[in-house]
Amino acid sequence: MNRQPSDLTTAHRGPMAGADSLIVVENLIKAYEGRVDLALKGITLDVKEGECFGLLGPNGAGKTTLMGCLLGLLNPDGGKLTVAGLDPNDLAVREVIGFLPERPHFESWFTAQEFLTYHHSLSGLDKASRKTDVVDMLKRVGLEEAAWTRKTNKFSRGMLQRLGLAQALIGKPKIVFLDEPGSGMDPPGVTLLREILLELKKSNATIVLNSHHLDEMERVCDRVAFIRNGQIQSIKSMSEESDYPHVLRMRFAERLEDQVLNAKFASIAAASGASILEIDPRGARIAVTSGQMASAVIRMCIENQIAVQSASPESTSLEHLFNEMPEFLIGDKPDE
Amino acid sequence: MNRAIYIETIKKILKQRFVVFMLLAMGVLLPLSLILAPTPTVTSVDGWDAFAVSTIIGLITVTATNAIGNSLSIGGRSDYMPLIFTRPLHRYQYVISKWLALATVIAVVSVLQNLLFTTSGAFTRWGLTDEMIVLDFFERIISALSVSSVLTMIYLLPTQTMVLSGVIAFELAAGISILAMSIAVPMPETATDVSVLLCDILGIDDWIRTTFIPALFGGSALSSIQQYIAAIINLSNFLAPQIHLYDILETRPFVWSALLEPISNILIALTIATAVLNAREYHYDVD
Repeated sequence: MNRQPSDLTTAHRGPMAGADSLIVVENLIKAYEGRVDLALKGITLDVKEGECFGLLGPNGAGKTTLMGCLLGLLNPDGGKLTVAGLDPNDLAVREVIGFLPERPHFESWFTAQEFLTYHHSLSGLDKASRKTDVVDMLKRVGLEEAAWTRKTNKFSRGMLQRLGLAQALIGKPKIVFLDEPGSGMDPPGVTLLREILLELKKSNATIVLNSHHLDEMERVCDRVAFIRNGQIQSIKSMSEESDYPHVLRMRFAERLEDQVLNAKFASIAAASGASILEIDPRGARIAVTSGQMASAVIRMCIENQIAVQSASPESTSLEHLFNEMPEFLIGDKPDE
Repeated sequence: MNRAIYIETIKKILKQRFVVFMLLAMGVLLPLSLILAPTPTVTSVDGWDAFAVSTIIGLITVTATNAIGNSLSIGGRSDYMPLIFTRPLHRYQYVISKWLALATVIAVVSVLQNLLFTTSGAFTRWGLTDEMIVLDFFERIISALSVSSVLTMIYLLPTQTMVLSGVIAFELAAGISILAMSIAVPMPETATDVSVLLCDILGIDDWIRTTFIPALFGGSALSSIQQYIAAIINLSNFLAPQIHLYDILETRPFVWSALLEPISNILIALTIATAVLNAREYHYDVD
């Protein structure tokens, strides 16, 4: 018997999950025929309702396999996987999910508008709002009107990605699975994607994001799982990872004489404990061990009449975490 | 059934120019050529009209448009099936929608042929009674449903199995003389028994049997090939059994099994197709 989508908020969510866990994966195992090594070796994680959860790892790590299992497209060989306590193949789950594959393939005989209309219909949404919903979605993903009636086989990679995103969102999903959504998109497309992701977060949609773009992940994800060789190495909360050693890059609004600048920075470094890596009249690179130390350096600069135009970390916290795990940087496995 | 998939599949079939041309040729030109022919060359064989026509149309439709599975049937990765199967629909709905869409196209063309034969008076001229004519319409629809279910099953099988099944489908077509460019048309021999006659359209069938095959393989090859074709006809009857409504209704006592056979075969074919879809995994891309 099919359950209603509203059941998703009330269904049993599994013994290991927290009260607000929407997706629960316990000891998930997946093997592929003809491959000795397991693709997934006991993955355990949970995604909370309204959370943006990132999957990060090298090629062949098992991210896409995990997403395939979460979507019910692949059959796990062991472990447990539930979405709001239901099997991922339950129609009640499919009614509330949206999915964008890394390289979406579309029925080539469709125009963009026809394609979205088709998926609106497959989503089981009200026919009365179909035309309006489709047009609104095409506008939302920034597809030019001239492309709406063009066949999808005439689309560029970036346009296909935008259309794929529109397809993922046309069913008004509560849970969105995005596999490399920014892949092939031009810079305005990436910006638009970020806006859409933030909008989704604001609307309390749950997002599972698989991406190699660390900055993209950094901006939208609440937590990130580092996957390698079919195993989760660690799951990091982005809010907890703001305090990490990094290089602070500063730009000055006014040029100061070398001697004055060196003297001022020597005293700032001595007082704050930071190390000066590089300094010139236009800017400086300072090694700090924490966000607090960075804040102190900026404050002291201002107190010392150094006109700071901008100050930002050279690397994101995810890059830092990535670098902390050298095994992620070497030995990419071949694609599955 | 899923209405959207059903409608879009029919649209997809009709968007292929080659297929539309072939469907028109099968539905209009072929019947017209038979109707207008003053004295068609006729040979008596055991064959079947609706089944033959439906299978030919079905094969042309499916092979030309790949309407059932598209990339689903030719590989696991990089296709659009994952997008469909993450939508709220059961996989059996997909199978039923594709089957009915294909059956609709085949049935429409097949029935169109019958309409032309009926309105032109050809059926009456050939001696068919009103009852036979009416029943022939139903037979064509049942044949379309039957043939479509087999083709749907074949095109949803995994790649390796599909290759083997493709050979069977090809043989199925060969078994009903598609290679001889012939079409079977029902002709009554007696009031209670409908036999079927094969009309040679362009003389190609006769030329292949009497000249081409003996020249190519020697005189004894013809009988071997005829035995081979007879075996294939049996196989195709097994895959998609023929139904003779008029005979069934005229036979006393009434034989239910004759009606149940195509129904059970349709159910088996669709069940296998659904089981295959349920068991399959859908890799949408490399990791």
